[in-house]
Amino acid sequence: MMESAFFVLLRRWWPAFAVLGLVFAGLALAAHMFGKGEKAGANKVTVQVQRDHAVAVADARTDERAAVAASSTIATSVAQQTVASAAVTHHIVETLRNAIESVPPATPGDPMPSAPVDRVRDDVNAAIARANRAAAVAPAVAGADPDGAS
Amino acid sequence: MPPLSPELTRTEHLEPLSAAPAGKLISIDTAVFAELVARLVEAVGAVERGNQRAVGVAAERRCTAAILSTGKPPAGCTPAAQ
Repeated sequence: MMESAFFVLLRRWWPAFAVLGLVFAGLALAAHMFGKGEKAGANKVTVQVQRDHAVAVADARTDERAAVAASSTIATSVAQQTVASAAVTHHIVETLRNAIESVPPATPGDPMPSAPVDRVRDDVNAAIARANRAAAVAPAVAGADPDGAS
Repeated sequence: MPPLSPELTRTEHLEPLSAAPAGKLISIDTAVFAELVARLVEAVGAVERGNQRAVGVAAERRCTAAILSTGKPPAGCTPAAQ
């Protein structure tokens, strides 16, 4: 009775089949492990990139806050200068109004009294000097320009 | 941030009063004269505040641009007080 060809083949070449099986199993294992390693490496790189990005964003936010603070400091300083300047303007206006209105009325027959032109010129020139100085002065640190009235 | 053109923060310069009396007199009502003087002084004050703002805007741009690009406030910019 003839054994089937398959069993003959099996009996003669089983070591070769075994080796072949082992080789395939090894290949499968290697492929699996390589894939795992690749994935782990990719994850690591992703985490690093995310961390770098977070640091960069945090830096940018810090700079932005510093810029906002500096901007608001300057704005506050300019606002203070505006208030001070308006006060000085008001003071000069009132002073000159008083000076002009305190000129005695002209009496008939007498020569007309002269206007306080020197006073007006001096005060206006002081105001003009302030205006020109404001253009030249470095901007202001809060509380600068303690110039009082003229 | 791009630099701010100097045209946008140009300040104004005013000439002082310097007329010598010419000897030719006219009369003027005190109220009218006082108003003229008051408006003149107010205009001068407005120029002063405009100059302050122009200088302030230029400084603001200079400081914020420097902080955003270098992370540090340059000299002349008050450090951020938080």
